[in-house]
Amino acid sequence: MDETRMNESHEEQQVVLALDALGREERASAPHDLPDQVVLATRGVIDSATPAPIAMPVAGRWARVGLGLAAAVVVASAAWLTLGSLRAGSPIEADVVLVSTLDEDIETWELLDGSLGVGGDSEFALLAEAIDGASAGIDLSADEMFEASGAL
Amino acid sequence: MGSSGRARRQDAGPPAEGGPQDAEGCERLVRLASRGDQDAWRALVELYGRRVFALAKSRVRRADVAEEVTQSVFLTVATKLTEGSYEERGRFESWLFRVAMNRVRDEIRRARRRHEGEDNGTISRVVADERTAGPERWETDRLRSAIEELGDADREVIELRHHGQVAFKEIAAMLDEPVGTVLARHHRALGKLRAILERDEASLGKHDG
Repeated sequence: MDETRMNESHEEQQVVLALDALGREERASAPHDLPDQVVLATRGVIDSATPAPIAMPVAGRWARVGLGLAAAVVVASAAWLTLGSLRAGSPIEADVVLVSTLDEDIETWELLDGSLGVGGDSEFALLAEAIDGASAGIDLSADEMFEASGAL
Repeated sequence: MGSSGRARRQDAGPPAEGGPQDAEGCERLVRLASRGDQDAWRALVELYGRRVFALAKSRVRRADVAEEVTQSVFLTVATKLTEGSYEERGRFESWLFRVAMNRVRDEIRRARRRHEGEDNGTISRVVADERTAGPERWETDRLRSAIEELGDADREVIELRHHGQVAFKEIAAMLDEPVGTVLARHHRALGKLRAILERDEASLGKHDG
């Protein structure tokens, strides 16, 4: 290394030292309670973090496999229940159920009518109309249904 | 002894390049803080708070504004950590200082807009207020003025390295440039600073003579 380059290098080293001293001074000029202020200002944000589940790192791979199986069972059950409820909830089946219930009730009513003398032609006609409507797939309103069941 | 030794190491200038233990420890703190561990978060703030402050103050020149910038930087970092959008595993330091540099740039732009049309007197006054008499202060102030004369790219490397104590490797990751390019820029910036200081010295010599 020639003398000029050695001088340059020495002078640059002086600049580096001066810069380090300046940086140290700037850091030292930070308020004493700066960390406290920052922690206070960010406390709510850090507190809002979701803590990681503790069991996962402990149980490791087998826990994950178990959780995966459990999730699969839950999904399969939900799908089975959904399909089942769709089948049970179809309007046609509901009508059939209604008609069969009414049929049983008519028999009861006929028995009662014969023994106790309650009921009457007009009520029976209303009930028969309700059965016809339901069996023909005509929707009955809640009032009509109530009226029909009241006839019994 | 332990604590004074650590304090000396922290203040002894930029850290040693690529300390693996520090990086691992730091990532552990980051992981814990992102899960709501206040102690880990405080440790991170203690580790980086003053360094971010020094970087900001070197640019904005006002302690109160630098303090605001520091709080804002850590608020951003805390939010990103807790909402899970921190994805730069193993690169916390470069990520933190990138957030800090962006925030500092925003603040400078805002200050420029505020002072547009004015004679820039506020900033000059603030700088003058901070400069007190005395030979050692005079040297420091000359260096500050010389840094202000650097271009933005050179100045960023100098301030990140000497105020923020950021390792060259992390600066390179921040700026998305090879380490060699960053080292070359630092060397060039030192040369420019030396030239500016020599020019000022010569100018003073002329006046004195």
